[in-house]
Amino acid sequence: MVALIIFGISFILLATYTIIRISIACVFWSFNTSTNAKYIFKRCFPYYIIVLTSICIGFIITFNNSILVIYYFSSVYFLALFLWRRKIKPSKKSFAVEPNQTHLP
Amino acid sequence: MKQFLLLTSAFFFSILFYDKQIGLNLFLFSLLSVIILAINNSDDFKSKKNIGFAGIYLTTGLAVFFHDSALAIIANSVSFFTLIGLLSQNNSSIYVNWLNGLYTTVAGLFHRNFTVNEAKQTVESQKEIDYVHLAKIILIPAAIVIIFIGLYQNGNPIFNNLIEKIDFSYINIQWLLVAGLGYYLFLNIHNPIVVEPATSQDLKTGNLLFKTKDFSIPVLKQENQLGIILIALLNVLIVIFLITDIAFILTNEEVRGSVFSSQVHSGINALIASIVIAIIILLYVFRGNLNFYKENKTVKHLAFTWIILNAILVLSIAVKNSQYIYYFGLTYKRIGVLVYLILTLTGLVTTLIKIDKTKNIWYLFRLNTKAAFIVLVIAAMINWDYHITNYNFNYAKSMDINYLIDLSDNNTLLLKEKIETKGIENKSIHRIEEKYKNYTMELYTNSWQELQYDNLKLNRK
Repeated sequence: MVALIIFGISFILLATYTIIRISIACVFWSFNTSTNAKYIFKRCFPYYIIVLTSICIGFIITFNNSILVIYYFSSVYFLALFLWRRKIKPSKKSFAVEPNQTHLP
Repeated sequence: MKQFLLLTSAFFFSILFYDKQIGLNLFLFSLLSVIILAINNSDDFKSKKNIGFAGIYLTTGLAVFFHDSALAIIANSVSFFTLIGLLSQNNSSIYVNWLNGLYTTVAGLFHRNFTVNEAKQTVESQKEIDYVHLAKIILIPAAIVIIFIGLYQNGNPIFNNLIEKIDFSYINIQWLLVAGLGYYLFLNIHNPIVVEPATSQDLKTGNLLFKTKDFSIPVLKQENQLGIILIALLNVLIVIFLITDIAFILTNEEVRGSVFSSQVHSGINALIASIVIAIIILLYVFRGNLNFYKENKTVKHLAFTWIILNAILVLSIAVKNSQYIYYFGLTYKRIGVLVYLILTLTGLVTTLIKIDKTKNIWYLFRLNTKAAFIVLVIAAMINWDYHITNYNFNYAKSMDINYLIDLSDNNTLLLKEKIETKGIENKSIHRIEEKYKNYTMELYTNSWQELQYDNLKLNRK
């Protein structure tokens, strides 16, 4: 039973993550690949987050302000912010420049 | 200082809203929001316009206290977004203010953290917060104050009693989460932001219409002819309709309910739709260069006549609706028709100004959305349930008592008063008694955050 609950919760979390990730990806896909992420953020993020928040509030009201629903949709909202943040924040990964390997044929 | 203010506000937010119904708390929240906005945007609050909108916002908060209606809560929320939007950009249209206000409320902090610097084309992350220092300035003074309170408690019995009265038992995880939500909300709104490019585009767009490059006399001549024929025919049609309509109103003094019902329900909807279509036709005819065509006087005069005739049509619908209200009582739908008519009349007047002063369609949007906002705020000030009940008991020729009982609790005290005065059947009296009992029970159990004006009324009795 516990395993089933854990599986169910994991499934819901994974599905939520995937849906939000895809929805953000769709926004980026609607632009040219060369378009700057900051430009897309400026153009689309306000409308994206307003629509998402409205949907979340709509569900919370529909489910009579149930605590579980409030927690779930608050997580959806913050997850969306986190994913947008990852998209627009410059990557900190540093790539080492390979030396010119003159000995190779 | 700013952080202290926001933390205190978050604390109050949780005190006001955690596990509470809407009442006095919404007005206090409005007051708190205005104070925070005024402190952080002191320059913007020197403008009379902003002060006026802050006043409107507070008034809608008071309306929620006086009659806890859904309309007052909606008006309060819309005024909140309008005020924040106005602080983000003072000169933009009201619908852009709503967009800016909504965006600031939802994600102001996030946007500020990733503000794009146009000059450098880089994303500016905010300065790193020194959490260790923050913890130090909160925890160390708090620990020392607690130690000293313990010491002073032993030295003075009055101080000891005072300290023992302080009860923080209501604070739990959920209370803290609500405080967190309040903190996030105040962090979002304290420094309003704008949605680009919507705001700059709106600021660039003026209210005037200009002659375009494809100005061609032969094309305009044809358009002018089409406009004259179309509007002239519509004028003739509306005159005939008005004559028959006025004859109907004058000859049917005591009309049967079924006749009025069909007249009002199907007829009024069709007439309102016809007026909206009339406005759309006029906007289409006067969309461009016809406004600058020298021989457009006839079509303009016909358009003005048509607008005036449509305004008369609005009045005739208002008369029919008023008669319906007089015979069968006031209801929300009938009030809705009146509100719709006011908005339609505003639409007609603004269309007339648009044609006369060669304004563009944005002018119409700006003025009409403003009008809709004003109508919403005024409508929110009125305790409709009370007035519907009062009118139906005192003035209407007939009424549906079950409809009145099914209205919100705002008419409960009045219904209770009216039980004795009107001959109401026992079943309805029982329902009213039940409603009164439940409502007074709810009022007595209200905490100070949930207080309503009816609480004061009940205490006076």
